[in-house]
This record gives sequence, structure tokens and C-alpha cells, in this order.
Amino acid sequence: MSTRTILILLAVLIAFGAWMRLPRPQDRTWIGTDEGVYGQYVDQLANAGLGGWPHLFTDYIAAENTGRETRLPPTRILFVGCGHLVRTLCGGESVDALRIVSCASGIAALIIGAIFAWRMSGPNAALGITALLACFPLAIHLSHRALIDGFFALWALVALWGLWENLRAPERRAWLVLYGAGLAAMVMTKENAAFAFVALVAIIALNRWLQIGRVTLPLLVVTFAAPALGAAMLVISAGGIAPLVEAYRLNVQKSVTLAYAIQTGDGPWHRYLLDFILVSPAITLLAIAALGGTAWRDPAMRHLFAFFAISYTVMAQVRYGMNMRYGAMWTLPLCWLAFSLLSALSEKVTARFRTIALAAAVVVVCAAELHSYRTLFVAGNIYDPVAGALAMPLKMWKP
Amino acid sequence: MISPQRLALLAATVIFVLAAIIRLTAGSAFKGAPLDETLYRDYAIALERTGLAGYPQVAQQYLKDQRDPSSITKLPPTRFFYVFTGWLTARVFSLEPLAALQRVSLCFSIAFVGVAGVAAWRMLGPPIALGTMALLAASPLSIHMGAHALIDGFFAFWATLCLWLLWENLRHPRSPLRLIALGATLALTVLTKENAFFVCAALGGLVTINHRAKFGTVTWQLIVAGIAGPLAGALALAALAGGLAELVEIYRTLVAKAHGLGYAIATGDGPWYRYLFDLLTLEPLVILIALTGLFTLPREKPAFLFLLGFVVFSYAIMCNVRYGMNLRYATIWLLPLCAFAAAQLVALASRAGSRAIVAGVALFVSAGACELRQYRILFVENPVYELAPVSMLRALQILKARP
Repeated sequence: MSTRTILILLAVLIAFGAWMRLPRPQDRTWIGTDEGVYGQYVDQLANAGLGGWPHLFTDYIAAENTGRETRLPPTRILFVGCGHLVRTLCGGESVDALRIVSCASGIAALIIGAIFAWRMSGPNAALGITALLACFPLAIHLSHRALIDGFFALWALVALWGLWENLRAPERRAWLVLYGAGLAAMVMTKENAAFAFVALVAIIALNRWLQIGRVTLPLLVVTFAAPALGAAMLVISAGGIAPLVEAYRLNVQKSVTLAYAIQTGDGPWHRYLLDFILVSPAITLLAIAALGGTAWRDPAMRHLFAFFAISYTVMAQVRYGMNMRYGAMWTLPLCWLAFSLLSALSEKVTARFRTIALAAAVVVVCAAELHSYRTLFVAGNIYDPVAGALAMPLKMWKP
Repeated sequence: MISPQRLALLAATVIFVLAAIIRLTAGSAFKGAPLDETLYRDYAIALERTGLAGYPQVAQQYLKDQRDPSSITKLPPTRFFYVFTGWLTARVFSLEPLAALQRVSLCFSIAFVGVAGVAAWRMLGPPIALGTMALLAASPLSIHMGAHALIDGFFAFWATLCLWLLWENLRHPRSPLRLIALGATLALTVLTKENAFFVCAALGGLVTINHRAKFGTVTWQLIVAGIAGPLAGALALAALAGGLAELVEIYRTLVAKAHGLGYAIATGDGPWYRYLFDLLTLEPLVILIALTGLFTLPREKPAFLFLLGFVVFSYAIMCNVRYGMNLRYATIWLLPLCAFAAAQLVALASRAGSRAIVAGVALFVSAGACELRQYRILFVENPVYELAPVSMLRALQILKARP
């Protein structure tokens, strides 16, 4: 296929993915707990302006110190800030503004994923991987809700891509900007940045064995300076280090006693895998099977798998803190792995029919994923994809 | 100096003994008297009362009971071979029928490790066979099947034997002993449980794809044995049921009633990947490792393609049975799954060069420990009996309350 044809097909796939991610009318009828909290923060900012950030922190600390229940901390400044910006520009309800942010970040993640896949594995692979990304149920769902995890996944993806480019082409300093922006945005978005950051640092530390590329001094500087910059922004927003630390301390302290977290965030090490199989059976199973394949020769596989495995290992240790929404940042690694297996299998087909066979396989997987999306998030109307909620529309649990 | 072959045999014996010890000492927090086990016991008592010649009366009584719309769905007396073995054990060892059935399940759970080990040895060679045995020895599903008077471990033994004997017959065509053994085993499988249909269909699928997959040679004698065995089993069942019409009615009633059974509707439903999900819940490490070899191992050895074919064919049918999915039925896939996982671990260990054996032992001991931990969590610390997703997810703390 010519580059022009591939670009047209990519545009069609991205357009389809974007259409799937556009807000749905039925979501307007009900606002989830987390969506409501983020909406309140945007409301407060709308009343007090950006200068009102420190008040969000003092109010949060006061409420946490007095109340028994906990709520999401105001440290997630980038998501709330973007919601505030959209509301200022477009008007309307705060939750709707945040849903626009989620939708835009979902579409942006799809586009960036396509570019990243092209850069890693070439135009043909980019087509297949983009198709899988476009139909990934969790990514579609997170684009419809004013939940932070799709937005966070976007910045984690930017950082992952930035690290890849910097390792592969260390002489091109422009990639440092992309990488640094991703890291700083991650820190300003959500405390889960710690997991992604650990994985990225581990990739740099293990690069000698992983042989992805070359680690340079500027890369190391940006790796630590960019998160520090993000943290500085958090300090400014909180009105000092003390309120920021206190907000985090209270959040961590209360999270382990939060009834909802205890009920839904517990489980063994393979909890995330089980959740992903329930939501994305075809892609998850193919991705697991791909680990036994020959694609290890490809540094892209080592890069993506290392990110997945290291962040998974850390995230699976958090007591009462497991939710498959946090795994949204693994969307690209899973899709890449699944496609690598399909691609390897298609090598067995005669050259004449290879492309058709591969395209057919991708279409079947996409159809399975869309069916899963429809069962769980359209017919099942799931808001938080926890195991109990997922098992019911799949008829595995009939209370 | 002991030869490698002897050393492997010694290791296999040690693993087999360990498997027996694990099953003999495995505790279970579940202390109830489930309906299934009670029914098997009742059939064994009825067999003692009526004798073999009077067994059709048991079938008649079952039909009379099941024709009543208000009666609950019960297991059919056509699962004769399990009941018969339990009755025989009770007579020989002077045991209570239920205790005898439990001993039968326990013994066949142990024997399953042995027969699977021999099959893996013949099909894949000593290193993978030893690994397969080690993983099977610690398999929570297999241990659980041996801890209760459930038919599925017993059935898995015969199904695995069928699978292996088909392989032997394909590799050594026209061997009278092998042909007779296959036919007899198929007959006993049919006499054990109606799930024999899935096994026979899968074995038929393997024979059908043989000309492309090149597992071995399909002879007319093999076809005859493959048809005559199940047919003999079915005829024996018909005789025990009091006639072909009675046998058909028993199955028809069972299927019709099962579709309206509240318990089956509540626990046996789900999507096509329900079995994979359940297996991953119960035996995460082995299933994960096995999945990584799914597309690479069958290219290396036809035996892997053979084992994969068996799982794929039977899975394709079993996941389409409405309200009829239960992880217990997946016990028949334990040999293929453990063999795939073992091959991957052996390949990983071989990268350690001169220390491959030490690395292999460490890997299999670690994997076995993970498996045993799963058993402890699910069946010792929690009273899981029926392997429905909800009960397993609750035991693993994933599910705590309706969100």
C-alpha cells in the first residue's frame, strides 16, 4: 500500500475512533460520584478564579479532617484546570466541560497512539494498531465520562512515546520537550504518575539489557526535572508544600479505610488481568499469547512490555487500590502486542493473501471488542468497570 | 552413575508420590453435603440393593421422578461407571457409599497425574513430562476434584487416557492392543458422563484434521475402534437404563430440566471466554504461561498441535452450551494446559546453560508453590465448593459486595 492510501485509511480509522468517543446523550442522565467531585472543583474555580486553587486545598484538608468519608483530592490540577478552561470558553455545566476534556483526550490518545505506532513499527503496523486502539472498550468508555483516567493515560502515553524517541534518537533534542511535557503533565494530573514514572525510570535503568537505545545526560536531567516542574506547579496551586503534603497524606490515609475502595479495589496479583479479560478478551488474550512469540527481537516490544510489566508489578501491590481504569495507560502496549501476534501469524499465509488475512483478523478482533463494549457499557451501562459490575452484564453473576 | 533416563524415572516417581501426598493431606473448608454427592451416594446404595440386573429399576425410578414437573433436576443414573466404581470400592473395603465415592475421586485424582505424566512422556519427552507432572501435582483444580465425591476428576482421567491412546494409535497404527485399549477407554468414558460427547467430538476433530496436521496415520481399524468403543458404551448404558427409549428419555429430560434449573441459570451462563476467565482465576500462573506458548509450540512439535486441537475442539462446543459452563468440566484440559506451561518453563530454564536443571527445578517449584497457594486461599481458607466465578472472586477478595 502506498503511504497516501495508508494515511487515508488511518484518517478513516481515527475518524471512526473519534466518533465512538464523542459524548453520548444517555450519559447526561446520570453523574457518577467521581464526576460530581471533579465538577464541584470546576464550579469552585469558576467562582473563585485560578487564584482560588489554594482554597480548594484548605477546604479539602478541613473536610477530610472532620468527615469520616474521603473524596478525590484537588491535587489533580491539570484535569480540573482543563475542565475550567473548557467551561470558561464554551459555557455549560462543569461536568459536561470535563466530559469534553475526557473526549478530547481520548481522541488525542488515539492520534498519538497511531503516530507512536507508525514511528515504532512502520505504517502498515500503525494501521492495525490504530484499528485496535479505536475499538478498545475501556478507552471508549473513559472518553464518555468525566473520569480522569483517560486523560492521565494520554499523558502517560506521551511520556512513553517521548522516552522511546529519546532513546532511539538521542541527538534530536526536540523529543526531550515532548518527553518532559508528558512527565510534567502526568504529575499534575494524578498521583498514579508515580507508577508510570517508576516504570519509565526502570526502563532507563534497564536499557543496558533491554537495548532499546542510548541513555544520555539530557534525558536523565529531563526525567527528573520535568516531574519536579510538575510538582512545583502543584505546590504553587496548593499554596505551599505543607498543604500539598497534607492533602496527599490525608488522601492515602483515608483511601485505605474507604468502604468503596475496600469493596472494589482488592484482589490478588492477577486482578488486572482478569478485569482486562472481562472487558477486552480478544486483545488481552492475544497480547498474552504474543509474549511467547518472536517479536522480542524488536526493541519496541521490549520497551512496551517493560513499561507494562513494571507498572503492573507496582500497581498490583497497592492494597484496595486496584481498578482497571488505572490500567488505561496500558492500552497501547496491549494493542501493540496483540497486533504483533496477528502479524506474525499472518506470515504463515501465502504472500498474495497475507494482507487480506491480517486485515480480516484485525476486523474480527475489533468486532469482538466492540461487541464487548456494547455488552458492558451500552447495554450494561457500567460506570466503574470493577469485577462485580462487569460480571453481571456478562451473565457470569446473577444476584 | 545413574543414566538420565533412570534419573527422570526417579524424578517422575518422586513427583507422583508428592502429588499423592498433596491430595491425601489437602484440607477443605467446605463441610456441607451437596446434592450431587448425595445423589451419587444414593445411586451406589440403589446399586447395592438392586444389583446390576436391577439397575434399570433405578433408571425407571429416576424417570418417574423427573416427569413430575415439581421435582428438582437431578443427576441421571447414566453416570454409571462412577457409581459402579464407588459401589465396588464400598463392597471391597467395607466403606460407606459416600466415603467410597470420595476415595474413588481421590484415587483417580492421583492416578490422573500418573496417566497424564505417562502421556506427556510419550508425546513430548521426559523433561516436559516431568514439568507437566509437577504442575499437575499442584493444580488446584485437580486437587479439588480429589477432595470431594465429584465425577469430574474421575471423568478427566478417562478423557485424558482416550486422548493419549488416540495419539498412540495415530503414531503406531494397527497395533491391536492399542486399538482395543482405545475402544475400551472410549466405552468407559461414555459410561461415566454425558460430557463424553465433547471428548468424542474433539477426538473426531483431531482425526479429521490429521491429513493436514500429520499427527500420524489414520487407519480403518482406528475408525472402527473410535466408533465401536462409544457405541458399546452407549449400548451398555441403554441396557442399564432398561432400553434405548429410556436412555434417550433420560438425556432429553436432563437437558430440558437443566435449562430451567435455577442453579444452572445462575452459575452456568457467560460469554465464550468464561472458561478462560475461570481458569485464569483459579490457576493464573499456569494458564498465563500456557497461553504464551499457544502459537509457537504447535509449530515445534505435532504433539502440541494435537493437544491444542483437543482443547480448541472441545472448548468450541463446551462454551456454546447454554447454562452449561462449569470450571469442573475443564479438568479434561489440564494435561494440555500443563504441558504447554511446562514446555515454556523448560525452554526458559534451558537458557541457563549448564545450570538448566537447577533453574528448571527452581521454576517448577516456584510455579507449584503459587498453585498450592491458590488452592489454600480458595479451598482451605475459604469454603469454595462449586467453582462458579462469583464464589472464586469472593474468595480472592475481588468481589466483596454488589457495587
